[in-house]
Amino acid sequence: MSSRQPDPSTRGPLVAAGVGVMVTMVALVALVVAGVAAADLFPATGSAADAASDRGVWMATQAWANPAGLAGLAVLFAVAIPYALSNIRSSIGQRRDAMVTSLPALIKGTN
Amino acid sequence: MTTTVHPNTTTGSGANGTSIASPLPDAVAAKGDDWAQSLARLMAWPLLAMGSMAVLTGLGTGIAGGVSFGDAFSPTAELADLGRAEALVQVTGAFLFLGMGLILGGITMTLVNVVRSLRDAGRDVQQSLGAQPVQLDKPLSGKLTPHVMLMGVMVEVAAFVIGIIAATTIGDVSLTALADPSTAGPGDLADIGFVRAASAWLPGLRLVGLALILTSVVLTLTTIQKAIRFQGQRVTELARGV
Repeated sequence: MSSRQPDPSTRGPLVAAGVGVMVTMVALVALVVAGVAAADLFPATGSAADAASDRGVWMATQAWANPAGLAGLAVLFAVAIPYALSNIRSSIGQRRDAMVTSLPALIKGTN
Repeated sequence: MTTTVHPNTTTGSGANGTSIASPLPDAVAAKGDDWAQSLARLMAWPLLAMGSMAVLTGLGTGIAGGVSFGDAFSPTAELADLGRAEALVQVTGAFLFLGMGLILGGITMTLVNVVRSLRDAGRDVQQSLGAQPVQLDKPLSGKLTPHVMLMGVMVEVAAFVIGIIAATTIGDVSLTALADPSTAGPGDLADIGFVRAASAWLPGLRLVGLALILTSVVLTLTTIQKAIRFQGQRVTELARGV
């Protein structure tokens, strides 16, 4: 199969890697929002209600965005990389088959 | 070692349009390292070593930060312990993630060296069979690998620099303001606000850097898979020509 044509066996790990990076990027954006809310508290420029709201955004966003970022990394560690390694194993199996069927003919030809 | 073209090998047009002794669509004449492969050959082990040293440094500063926090809450507590602990927390995160980024970058480069070894082994086997050595034209995954990896390492370095700036900023805050921000002046409050804000988004930036480097690992593994598959096809093709 030509690698210029879409190769379904290589698509899976790349899709999983893309999902992992996207989840981590979303977490980064949320954490930037949390950082802005935290910066607004030092010093608190608005009313007490605004300060409470900022503190809520800061704490709540940090609470879910950090695990989300780690989940994105987990997708890469637990899905994309094992998937790619599994594909390498199957490619080595294919090469073994090619060697088994072709090497005897090659050895006879060079002798 | 013979370098003559195998008499029964079919010829074809390579991926770059040149005439080569293989009809495989992605075959190009065997060639040496490009800039990314030379970089991987030179930098794989130094990156792993630098990353390990950074992680060990982070471990050391983390232990020192923990001791300082313990001292700050002991009966003989001094405010200086709290200030030192706050600064060391920032330094620890900066060193640990820089180290992880460098180690993963070193792993990517080691995998690129595996691709180089596969390429060289395939070239030697073809030459020993008397065929013109060809190799897989670099696939898109291989072309993207160094750029994605270097982007990830640069993100980690940027996060390291910002982490050190945050550490020095929190170190400049007066100790009484650190213990009780309600007593802080405007300058100290701004510094505390900057560090709190950076502490909120720096972990996300560090995770994005790691995610990019891990993506480069996946891209390199995909390239290895394609190289192995190409070699199987090449052996089959040579056997058909015998």
